[in-house]
Amino acid sequence: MNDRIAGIILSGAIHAACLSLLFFLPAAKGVPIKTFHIRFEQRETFSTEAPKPVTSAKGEKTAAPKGRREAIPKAEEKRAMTPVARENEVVEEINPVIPADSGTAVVSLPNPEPQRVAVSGIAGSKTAEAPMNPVGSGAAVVSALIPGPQGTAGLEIAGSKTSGVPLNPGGASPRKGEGPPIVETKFGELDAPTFIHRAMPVYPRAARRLEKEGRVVLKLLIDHAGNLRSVEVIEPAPFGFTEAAIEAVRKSTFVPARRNGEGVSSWAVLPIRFRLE
Amino acid sequence: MGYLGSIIDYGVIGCLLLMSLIALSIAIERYLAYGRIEVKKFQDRRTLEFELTRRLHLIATIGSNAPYIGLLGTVLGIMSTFYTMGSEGFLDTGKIMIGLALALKATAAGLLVAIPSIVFYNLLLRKVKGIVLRWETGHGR
Repeated sequence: MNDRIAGIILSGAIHAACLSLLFFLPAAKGVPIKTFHIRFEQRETFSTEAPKPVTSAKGEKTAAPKGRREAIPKAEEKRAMTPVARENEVVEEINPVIPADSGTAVVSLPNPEPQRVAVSGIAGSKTAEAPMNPVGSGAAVVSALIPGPQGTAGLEIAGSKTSGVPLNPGGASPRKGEGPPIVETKFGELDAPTFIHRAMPVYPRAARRLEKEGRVVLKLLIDHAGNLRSVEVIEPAPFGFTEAAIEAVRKSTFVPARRNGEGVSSWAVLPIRFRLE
Repeated sequence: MGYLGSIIDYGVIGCLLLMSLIALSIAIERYLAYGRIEVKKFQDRRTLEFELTRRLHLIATIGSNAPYIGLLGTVLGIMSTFYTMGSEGFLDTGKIMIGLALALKATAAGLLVAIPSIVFYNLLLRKVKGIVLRWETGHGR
């Protein structure tokens, strides 16, 4: 009888030990299986009436080495190509200032008058049909936000380039030798670039395991033929979301933005949301 | 059918857990009993054998039947998965696979119960044989 009780107790203890090992060992839990969704955000509402300020110093700078190389003097070209890393910093510095809902508006800040004058004076090129923006151009904002050598560098580049600064407030006469404007758009807008083939980003494994979600905002430079020329990260996200998004965008193919029925080069903002369900 | 499936699942797993508990407790009890049994007290070989093999058949039964119960759980799980598939019309592959995988865990549990039970049964049977042999040599046969 004693044996039986001892047996029952021992058996219970062994089972309890095994089960607790099974339940509490983190390795035994495994990765929870979850379906996930990656969504390209596209806003239905947009306004063609108030076009975004089209030029920004950084846009120009990154565009410069690719788009209109021949137009830039050698020294300037070098200069335009080297500060790529710094330009990204610039973008990120600008970023927090942007209101969250103003999707494409990299530049939507009022800026001091003297700055604007200076920019328009130096850069001073403009397409005739380009929509006006009352306050602010990219260059002006950059210079306004980032005092010191960086800002001036941006201005210098913007100024020295003879090729098109497509839009500039303050108004100046069109120059000769002007390249096609680089339009700023957003995916989902009218005349914005669209996908021919949309590669879905791979949900990063680490993020999935940690059940992290994220939102990456990219800005793609798509030339008039629909080739992806450059990718800029406006809003990065940790856990490899940014890399996954860039990888997917690289694999995608695009239809260029259109202005007056013709394909034009454009910067297009593409928010990508990584969501678990 | 969904909650029915979960009831089947938990019922099968709980049944297997109970069986495992019983088998292990009997095995331990038998082991302790064999350790302190006095062979000399038994005059008859048959009474000795009867005393020794008591409750051993339970371990054998559990060992041989646990896989079947696990299999039953799996079959029921697959049935419920197919039922939901049929009633919902469309089910993505992931859900089907999850259903099947969860159904298979019942079989795994059954095997997990059966293997140690059979091992214990064989070890105890060997011990019984040894004790009977000891009794026989003690009684000069």
